[in-house]
Amino acid sequence: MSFMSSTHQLTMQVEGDVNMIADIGSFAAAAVHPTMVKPAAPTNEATLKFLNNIDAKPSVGPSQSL
Amino acid sequence: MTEKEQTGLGGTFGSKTKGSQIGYGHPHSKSLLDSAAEVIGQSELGRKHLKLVDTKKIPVQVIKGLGQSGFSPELMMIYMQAPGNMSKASGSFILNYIKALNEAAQELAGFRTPDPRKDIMAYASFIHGRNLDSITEVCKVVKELTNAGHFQDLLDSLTEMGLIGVYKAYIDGKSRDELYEQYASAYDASRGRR
Repeated sequence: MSFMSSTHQLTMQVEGDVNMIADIGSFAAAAVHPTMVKPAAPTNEATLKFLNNIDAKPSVGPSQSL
Repeated sequence: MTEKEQTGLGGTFGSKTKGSQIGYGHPHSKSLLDSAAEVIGQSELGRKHLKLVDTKKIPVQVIKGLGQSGFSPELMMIYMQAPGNMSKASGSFILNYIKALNEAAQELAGFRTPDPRKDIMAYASFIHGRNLDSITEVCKVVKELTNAGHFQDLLDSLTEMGLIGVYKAYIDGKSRDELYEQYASAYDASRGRR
């Protein structure tokens, strides 16, 4: 098992449905070496914030209490 | 998590097949996911990731195979692969599960996978950034499990997967750029092993 391949490739294997997005997606992940691009901006902080608030219910407006 | 939620696609990938359906479903999927969750749940960060499956109803499909595991943004689903005879989560299964959970969390947190048809380089930048961040989160969970019984097994699995350099860099408090260098080296090693 490797962490490095795109999950698009996996989708193709499982679905047996080689669609254009999966094809290009796995090609891009396989063909574009990490040294050829800068990684996208870090996501960890925002993702952790999301996970920390995963149980929070959405706000339904101002409190009705007096 | 119920069996139905685990399989997600119902009978198509389930262990019982009909007609032309192929039996991709793993016979020990529940045991694999339960044993992985047991280890991951010993980490606070791991527990936060596990909560994602129940709270956001992310289906997790375990299939028989030796290929890739991960989160599919197209199907909003986690796929895990394991050899058919594996009944308890191995170190690499556990690490891959944490990574897949984090990939799903990133997507749900708003970091949507771009369309590779529009800009392949932007897509690659996104994928490599996502990989780096999810591997970093794996390292955080493993570090939190330092005193757990499975710690050495997880370290061995990181070594087998070529990621021990990233882990060491993380432990040493290296910058994201330096972690990315380690990731790029691991990428080469990973491709060389195929």
